Amino acid sequence: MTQQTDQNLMDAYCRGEDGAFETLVRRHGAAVLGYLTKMTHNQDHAEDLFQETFQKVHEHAAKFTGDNLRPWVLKIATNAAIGRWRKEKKHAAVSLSAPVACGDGTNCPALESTLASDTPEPVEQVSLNEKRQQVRAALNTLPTQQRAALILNYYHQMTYKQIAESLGCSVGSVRTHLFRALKKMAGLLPNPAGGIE
Amino acid sequence: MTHLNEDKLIQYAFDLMDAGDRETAQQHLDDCGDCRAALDALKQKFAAMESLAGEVPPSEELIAQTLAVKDTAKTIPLYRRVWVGWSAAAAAVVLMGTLMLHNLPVTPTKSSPPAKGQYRAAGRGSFPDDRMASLSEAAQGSVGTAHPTEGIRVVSADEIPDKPPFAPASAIELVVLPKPDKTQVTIYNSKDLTLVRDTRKLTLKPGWNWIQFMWANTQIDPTSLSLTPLTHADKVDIQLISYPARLKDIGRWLIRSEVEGAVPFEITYFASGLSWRAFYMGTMNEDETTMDLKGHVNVSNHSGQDFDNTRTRLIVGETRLTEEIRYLAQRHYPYGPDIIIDDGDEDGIDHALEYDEWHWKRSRSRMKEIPLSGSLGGAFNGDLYLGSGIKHDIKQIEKTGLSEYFLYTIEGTEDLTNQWAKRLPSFDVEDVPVKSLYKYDDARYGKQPVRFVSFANDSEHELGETPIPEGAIKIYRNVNEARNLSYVGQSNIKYIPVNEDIELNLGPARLVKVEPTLMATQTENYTFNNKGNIDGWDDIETWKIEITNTREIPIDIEITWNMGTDSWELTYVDTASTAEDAIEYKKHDKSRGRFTMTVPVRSEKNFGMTIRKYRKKRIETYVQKIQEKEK
Repeated sequence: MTQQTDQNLMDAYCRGEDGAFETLVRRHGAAVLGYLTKMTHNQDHAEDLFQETFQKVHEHAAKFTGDNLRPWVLKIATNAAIGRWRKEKKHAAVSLSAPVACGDGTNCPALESTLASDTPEPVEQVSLNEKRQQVRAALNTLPTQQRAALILNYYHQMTYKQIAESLGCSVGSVRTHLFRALKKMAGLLPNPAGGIE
Repeated sequence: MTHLNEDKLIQYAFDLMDAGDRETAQQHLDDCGDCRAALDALKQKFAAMESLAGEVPPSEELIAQTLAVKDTAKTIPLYRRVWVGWSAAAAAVVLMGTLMLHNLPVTPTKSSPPAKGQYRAAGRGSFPDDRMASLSEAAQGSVGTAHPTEGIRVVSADEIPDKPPFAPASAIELVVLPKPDKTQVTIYNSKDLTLVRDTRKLTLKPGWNWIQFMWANTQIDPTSLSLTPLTHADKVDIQLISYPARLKDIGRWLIRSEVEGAVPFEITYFASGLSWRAFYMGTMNEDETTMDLKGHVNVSNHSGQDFDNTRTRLIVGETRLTEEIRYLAQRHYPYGPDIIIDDGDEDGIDHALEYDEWHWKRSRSRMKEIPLSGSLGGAFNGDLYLGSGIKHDIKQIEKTGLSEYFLYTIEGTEDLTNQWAKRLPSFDVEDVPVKSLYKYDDARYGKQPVRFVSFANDSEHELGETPIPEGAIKIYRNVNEARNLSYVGQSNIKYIPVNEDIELNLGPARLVKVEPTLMATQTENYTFNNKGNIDGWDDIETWKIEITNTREIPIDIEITWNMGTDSWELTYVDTASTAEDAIEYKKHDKSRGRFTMTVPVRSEKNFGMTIRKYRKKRIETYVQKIQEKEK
């Protein structure tokens, strides 16, 4: 059985076939949630935005044209995330991955690792978690547009044009966002040599 | 050529270079081991980003919640969707807006239909607001089919999707509750706690309904909110209440309904900021033997919301509460301006009496009816507030005993407007027998006698049907036949259970004087120790007490005499021989004696007494004497 295209599914959904929407959510849900998790650094917020995103998809279903829903959904998710970030600027919230104050301000465990610290984990897992934490922390320092550009490009392999559409800016701006994001990340990501040299 | 710096390496690695630059960089990298190493290092560094790669599969629960969006959203023809299979002209009307339990500025003109996302503005107090009424009317007007009185259609359970919708992020999916038909507040004064119950007709569509409510600027405990259908309980199911993230002071109920149409619901919650105080006025007759007693209840509302057309009940007595509601309410915004809403609802009383649950034993008191005065419906500060609470008949407060406390129910309904207070008559009893007594006790009241009026909360005193709540009392006295009043004094009543005595301290008496004079002292009965030193003796004091009554009526006075020691005896009391002049004496406790007497109109009364006080070693003699007496 050939897989139905996103366009076919959206059309079916607009005709009232309930199953089509579910197929779309299942098809793109993991990517959207992954994206939002990276964007927000907070699972709860990501899930909220996930629902908001698919609600928008539902509301604007009739507006969708094209074959691939992914860039469109990610665009909606980006807008939702940026909207949320704007709101959060007014009402700062504590992120789960925000560093816990621990005196010297360095090597602070994130809140989530503090919460889960009673679970014994293999060394690799601990190392991986630490690495994730550093990447998240680095991503978190980026302005939202730069972060979105980097995540969409690096993790979702979106073209500059698609990213430009998602962010509502020019391709040139996307390249600038991306370059600045990468330059900042280069300064923040851990040195793989880890100081052993 | 020069080596590639970090910028160039990043641009090269992430394909951000122009084709020409890229070719040049490529050539350099082919020749330069250092730059290749630097590029590798950069790539290794960015390899850490792979740790976050990968998708995050949503949980089944999240998918279910997300999918449910279509079930609620179908009813909203705001988009170019083609809805199939939706009949009955959207008989299930989705009313847009929010249930707002808070106090916001009133815009008397009906606003245009609320738009998506308007609830966000509401939280900041800028919502055009007739508190739900304008919202629901606007929404009804915009949709044009809502009618709370429409008949209720039952739909098959099969028509309802199994999965509930997720809590919508915007206001468009939400159903508004119309203004309450009837409200009941029960004020537990002792804990700043008010139980609010109101009923509203909510127009449900078959299937899933979301209802949003807000409590910004109010003092509501959001955790206490409860919603119950009063009819069709088997067809209407309140599934959950959710508090959406990011939105302050907002909660949403999810209702699964197998009926379509207006269903009455009861909403209950705890609020704080409502309080009541009791006030009393007593008017004694000329000879101060009886008193007319009037009670008032002052209800004030600082809860942040208006309660219109509200049945008001007051709890007298202590209640248990672990947390204070005003803290639970977690207010985020300051009070808005004062609001007066006159909804002109005339039939409120009948509605209010319909509550079936109120199986209160009706112990209608024999308190007589009170003509309506300016105080009823009048604001606390004397301004006249002409709300619909003014009914030109008589309000009574009905009293009911509950297990551990007492319930006063104000007859009919009232408008309790935020920031306003209202005084309501509670009872009016004529000719309560009272006893006036002056007391002199220099250790407690100083050198001036203090006046007391006492009666009992029992049937002998025309009272005794209910406890009397704590409150302030002012006592006046009729001074002549023209019923001119003189102010006697003011006091506070503590909570008085049935059959308990009440004694009101009316403050120092100006027309009664007690003047004790020490006439003589002497010492005797010295005892000596082995060395010949004094180790005990008796002090003997002779006192003359002069009592002056300058009043037009005879008075009873009670003089409590503090001996200053536990080892004393009264050796002589100069009491008059005639019964009328009799002075009663009794030992009040180990260190005090008490004299009671009646002093006739405009007269003086004297009595003398001699007190022996045992000192040091002589105390043993005193103790021995007492023991012998007891034998």
